[in-house]
Amino acid sequence: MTGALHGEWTKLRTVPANLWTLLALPAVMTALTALIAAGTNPQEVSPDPTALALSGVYFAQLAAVAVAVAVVTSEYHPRLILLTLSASPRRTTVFTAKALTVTAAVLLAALPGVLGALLAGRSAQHGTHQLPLSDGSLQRAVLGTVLYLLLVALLSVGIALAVRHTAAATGTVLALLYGPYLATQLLNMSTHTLHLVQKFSPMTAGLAVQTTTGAGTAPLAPWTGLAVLAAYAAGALAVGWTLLQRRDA
Amino acid sequence: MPPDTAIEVSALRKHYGPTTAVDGLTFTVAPGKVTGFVGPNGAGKSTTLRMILGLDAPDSGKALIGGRPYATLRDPLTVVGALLDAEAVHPGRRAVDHLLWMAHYNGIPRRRVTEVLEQVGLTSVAKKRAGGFSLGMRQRLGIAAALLGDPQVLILDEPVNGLDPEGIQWIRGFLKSLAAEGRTVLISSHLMGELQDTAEHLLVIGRGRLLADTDVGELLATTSGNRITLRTARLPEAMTVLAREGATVSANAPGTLTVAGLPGERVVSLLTEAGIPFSEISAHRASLEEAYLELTRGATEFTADTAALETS
Amino acid sequence: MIRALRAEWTKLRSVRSTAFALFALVAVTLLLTVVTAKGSVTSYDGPLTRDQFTFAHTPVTGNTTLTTRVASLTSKSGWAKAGLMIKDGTTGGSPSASLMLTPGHGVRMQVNAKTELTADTPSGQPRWLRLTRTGQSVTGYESADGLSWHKVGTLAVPGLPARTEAGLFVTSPAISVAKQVSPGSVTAHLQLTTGRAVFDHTTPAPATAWTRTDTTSPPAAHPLPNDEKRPAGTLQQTASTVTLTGNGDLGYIGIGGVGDDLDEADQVKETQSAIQLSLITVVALGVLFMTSEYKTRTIRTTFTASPKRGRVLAAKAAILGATVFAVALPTTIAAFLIARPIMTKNGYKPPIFPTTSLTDPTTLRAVVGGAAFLAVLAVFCLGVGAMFRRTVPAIVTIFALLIVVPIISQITSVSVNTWVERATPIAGRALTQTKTLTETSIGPWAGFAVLCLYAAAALGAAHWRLTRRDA
Repeated sequence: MTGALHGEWTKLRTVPANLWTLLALPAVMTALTALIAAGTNPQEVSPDPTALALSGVYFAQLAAVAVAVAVVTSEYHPRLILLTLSASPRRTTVFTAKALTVTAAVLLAALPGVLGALLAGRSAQHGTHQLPLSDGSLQRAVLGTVLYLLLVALLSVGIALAVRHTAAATGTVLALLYGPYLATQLLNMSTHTLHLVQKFSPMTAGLAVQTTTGAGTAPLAPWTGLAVLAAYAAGALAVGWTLLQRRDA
Repeated sequence: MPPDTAIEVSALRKHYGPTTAVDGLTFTVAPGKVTGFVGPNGAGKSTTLRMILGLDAPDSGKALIGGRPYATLRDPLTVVGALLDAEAVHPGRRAVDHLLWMAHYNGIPRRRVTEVLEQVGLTSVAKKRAGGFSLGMRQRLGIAAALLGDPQVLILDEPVNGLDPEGIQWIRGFLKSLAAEGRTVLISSHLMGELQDTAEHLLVIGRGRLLADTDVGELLATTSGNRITLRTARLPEAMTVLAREGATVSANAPGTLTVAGLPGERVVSLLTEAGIPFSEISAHRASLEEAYLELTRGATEFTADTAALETS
Repeated sequence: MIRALRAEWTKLRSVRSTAFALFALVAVTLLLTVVTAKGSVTSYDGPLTRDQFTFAHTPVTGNTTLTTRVASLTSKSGWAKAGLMIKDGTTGGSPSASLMLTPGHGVRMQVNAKTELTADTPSGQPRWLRLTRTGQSVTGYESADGLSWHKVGTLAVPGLPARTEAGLFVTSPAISVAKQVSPGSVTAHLQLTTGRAVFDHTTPAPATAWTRTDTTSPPAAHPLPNDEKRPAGTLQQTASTVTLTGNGDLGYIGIGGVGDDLDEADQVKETQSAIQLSLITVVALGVLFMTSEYKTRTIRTTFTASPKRGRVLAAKAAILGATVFAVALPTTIAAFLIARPIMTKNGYKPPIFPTTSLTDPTTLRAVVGGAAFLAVLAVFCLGVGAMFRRTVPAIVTIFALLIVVPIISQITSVSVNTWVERATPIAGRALTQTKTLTETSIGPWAGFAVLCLYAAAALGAAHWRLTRRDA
């Protein structure tokens, strides 16, 4: 297993595009959070100051998705998977190594990203009351955002294992994350339907973990919301694992 | 033999970052024969071909076709047909459509598409998508694309890659016949053996430099050096007899002698007079492979020498 | 150039992904159009039927003619109503016929709060009104002086019994005080208004006195928030005049101004709203048209066939733009034609909403503009694809720019959103609007120009990169 982990980690870090994408995650997260926070007028909206200070996650998750998908689909064009599986015939080992590698890589990028965003976002907001850093709900929002990014990455791994094609996998993950949200913006739906969509779509449910004041992105308790996303990630991983086992490489 | 179809390359240079891919290449490819362009992997063959085709910009130097840079040719496919990469086909596109869009670009009539497909033997799969083609079929499709404009100049990068023996036979004959019609044919390969029966002229490059620009016959003669091999049980005696008459003699294998510097008849008469029994006398014939290895070995030594000079 | 165009057209049409993308464009657009149109019941969220007014009535049997002069009608709402009514009892929702004056919308005639006629003569106060019942139909007249009468029209009144209550009524709907709190949501609170009408020259007058009833609308799924706080109406009678105050509304969604109070909807833009989402198919098509050449390395073949790289790029852009436009135009027209009847059914109809038609230049511009937006957007994506040379980074970048940025800006602030709608490629969607929603958003042609600039810049950068870099 350590061998497989080491191998996967080497594969990930030796592709420059992966490193750039991972570097982009904290950069985008911090910079865009600052921009969004600075552009928000508290007179117009009554924002959740903590969620606002973490709002770069809407962009940063694109980087997490990109890396996670690339780690899987780069095995298929060309079919490096043949090499990988000849080096490590136990597919569960390969699967676990990939999932852990992605988790570690995204964690390394997400930690500075989330902390940077929090600090930048808080200082960029003016005229809003900020929760103290020692506040429990704030700490939960920060930790939850890191976990959110990890779960999004794992969801992407699962989907990529099932789809095995970069563009298709990226498209599927993005559709799953943003699609329902777009639908709520675009379509006129009753409050009941709206809440239903918010509760069961991975992005809005998952980001409920950022809520510290007022209504969040979904009518769910913070950890319950993240659990919904976790269920999606687990489901996707299960499907990915099953297909990796069942299908010819 | 219209002179305006020669490929002229002069002082061509190209580097990618710190690596020099092509280092001052100068050569001319004459019409009317098949010219082989050989060198080990990474010698700069494909880069040179891409520069001839105007795909890569040289750092310095010129590559001209019929005296003009490729990029200034009007309807280039009717002047030059090229096969660079047989895999470079959209997998979702039918063979016929792949040729059709190229034809449109140069105002080539649609019937040429049918003709070249026929010529390379792909008529039956013309309406199939290229994604399902084997490497050999793609190679044929790539050759069809090169023939599309009925060009006077053909540039084919590793054309026999992926072809079955039958296909290799076919393409060799085909290229020779095209050259016989007076066309300029330049084919590259990293295997000298592939060119043995096809090319009349050879350009050998290594590390981006020209090592040889020679006729195949000449090259073979130089490498063979009029040597003779024979078998005999009495090696020391035979060596003494022949060396006395000024030959260079070496014993490479048990019971086998290689003799240089004496014609065959003289060797036979000398050994007969000395009463030394021998058998299997034959003229030593170097293969292109050997000639090539000799040349590239030289190149390596040469490079090492200059490096030593530069540092000293 | 013609050859380059033919060649690029052959390329585009000969791969299946093109057909898939274009089919998806049509299918997604039309599907979403239907869903959006069905879901859009104007921004008015209240009950559909309003039958709520203060009624000064007296029993009448059989055919009758009522006449009155509305001496004055005052209300904060332009849709206040005062006039004559014949009704089956006084319960909200029962059959009725009415003829009324409104401060802002002329003389109108309603039956059962479902059918409506508008007088085509100019109106003002005071106004004479006359309502004649003959069997199951009523005829309305109006006059400026009580001498020369203009017929408003005749309407059948299904279900009106012989024994009716007839008399005078006044009503005045709540007005909304709208406030745009964030770009995505306008919050409006309803403010009650009271209509006060003075009637004179009323015939027939009741023998003793008018009876006042505050009629209340039939129970609704979404009652208006202020309905329960509705103050009682008043009735004051002198020898010659009757003064009524009251509030509420009479009509049906789209009739009598019901649902008008909140509405700023741009119906035409609404029919084109699906392109906001279906643009993703165009993004994929535009990006892939370029990046697939790099992925399959056909780009080298292309450049050996046509060493003039600028021409290749121009041909690609022209073919892509034309193809997308050719497919998108019938789609946006179909979207308009599909959405319109659905929306009309949902209340987007005269008199509150003007009838929209493709013969109207502004509407036509908006509908054609939807297709033009998609076509230019595709060209922009082509340029981005040529810059990146790789599918996924190009698509993710465009996705962030076109989808994520607007999402974020919608939840942040009006100022950010205004900037996004003005300065990102999405500004081009302004070409589909027929009304300027807020004074800060960009005009249709200016917005389209912004998109065109983006496309030009992307193509410029792509050209620079194509000619400077080895293929």
